[in-house]
Amino acid sequence: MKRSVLFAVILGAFLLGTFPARAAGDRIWTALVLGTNEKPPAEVPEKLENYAPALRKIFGYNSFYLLGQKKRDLVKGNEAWLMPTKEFFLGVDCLAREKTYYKLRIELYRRENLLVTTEAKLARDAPLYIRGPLWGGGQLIFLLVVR
Amino acid sequence: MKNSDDLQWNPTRQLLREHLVVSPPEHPDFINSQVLAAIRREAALASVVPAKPTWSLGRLLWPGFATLAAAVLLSVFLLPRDFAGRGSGAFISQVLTAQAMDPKTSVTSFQVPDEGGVVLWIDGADYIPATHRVQ
Amino acid sequence: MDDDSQPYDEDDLLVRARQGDLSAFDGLITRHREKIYMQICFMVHNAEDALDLTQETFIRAWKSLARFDGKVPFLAWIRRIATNASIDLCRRRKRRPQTELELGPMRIDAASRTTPSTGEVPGSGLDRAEIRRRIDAALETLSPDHRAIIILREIEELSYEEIALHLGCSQGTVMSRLFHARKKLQTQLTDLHEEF
Repeated sequence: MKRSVLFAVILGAFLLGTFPARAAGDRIWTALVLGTNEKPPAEVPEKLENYAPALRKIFGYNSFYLLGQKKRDLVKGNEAWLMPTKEFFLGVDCLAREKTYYKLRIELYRRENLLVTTEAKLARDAPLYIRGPLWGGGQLIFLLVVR
Repeated sequence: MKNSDDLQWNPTRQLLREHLVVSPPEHPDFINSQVLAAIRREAALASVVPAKPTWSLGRLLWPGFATLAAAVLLSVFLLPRDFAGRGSGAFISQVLTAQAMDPKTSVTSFQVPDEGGVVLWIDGADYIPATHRVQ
Repeated sequence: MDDDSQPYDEDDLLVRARQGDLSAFDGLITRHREKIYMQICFMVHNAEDALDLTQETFIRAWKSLARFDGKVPFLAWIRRIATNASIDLCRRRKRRPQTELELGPMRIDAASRTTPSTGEVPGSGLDRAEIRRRIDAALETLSPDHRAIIILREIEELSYEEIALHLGCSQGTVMSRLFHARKKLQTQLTDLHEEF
């Protein structure tokens, strides 16, 4: 009986000890967006609503389409692969985790070809926008956000 | 549509495919006989030597509790806590370094003033025709 | 592709092999031994080592058969065991000078994808043995993981998804390793294809 109580206490303490840390886990979300100019402008996809004003201002397009998206856990020392589409994907290496930002090494690939490599500090909800190639009549834009 | 990197790689790929040729094994049945003989040998050994349980459940119980206690201590004292809660837009993102792999391409960065974001601007990337799938 | 001389369905062989039927497992070995042997040959550049590793692959497969859940094709599963065994050997092995072709004299294999001509390539000044030596040396400079991806993609012509399955890694990892491996090989072999 005493051993059972001891076991229950230890197990309870273990669960309490880990829960706050698990709840604080951040994720990185990436989206591949197509920006175009249309009359009338297309409806903004729900997942891009928060970013549409900035997208319009930065890139000058009035319509945006979400071509793909992916999210992964951000863990220091771990590499995450985000493939919003088969053609383009991002490798995100979490180099450091500070109080107000993550330091990341980000590689943008088109299939097996590395296009760009960058080291960036990404604060939560402060996106990295990457202006990609032109596709058809529009612009490919990559969005990375820590949430 | 092939991009310039694919076109550069093609000659090397051709070279590999033309010259990396391997013949199949001369006596393929030898593989089967060796594998089956090894399996039978190990099965024979296993049937001769009975497995001895070295640890009973009772013996494992207290080491298990000790491991759990160690896990509790580690998780309480070492795992990071909440990522300094603050409102969005209070901190900004920054590009520290950026490099384009293709010499025809250049990359620059600038801040987005209103929301703390940052832009990486790639110039000179290959144009992709609308007929090419990107999804 | 089904072999007419092997009437049993692979699923049937698998079910029986998992129940301990050695003759069924023998059938599976017969179906896949050549592909596995050749894959390992490309990786380790030595016929004797390739033969040993092929046997080791199937022995490991027999021992792990209970854990094979059928979510991937059996060949993909076996290829993964073979790739891991090859990578392990490459890592253990000390580098030694490539003074001879360890796979023996060049033979034209009727089943090969191309039928290369023997002897000198006209106007190039390089014979096929020398070219092959250069290619093997270039492959040796790659890490075992990068070499595996080059072989699986460029020679075995597997898709990225299949390679990711074989190596137990993500597709992103496959593509990035492929990029770096190709760059390295290109640098070392550019002068060879400029000869033609």
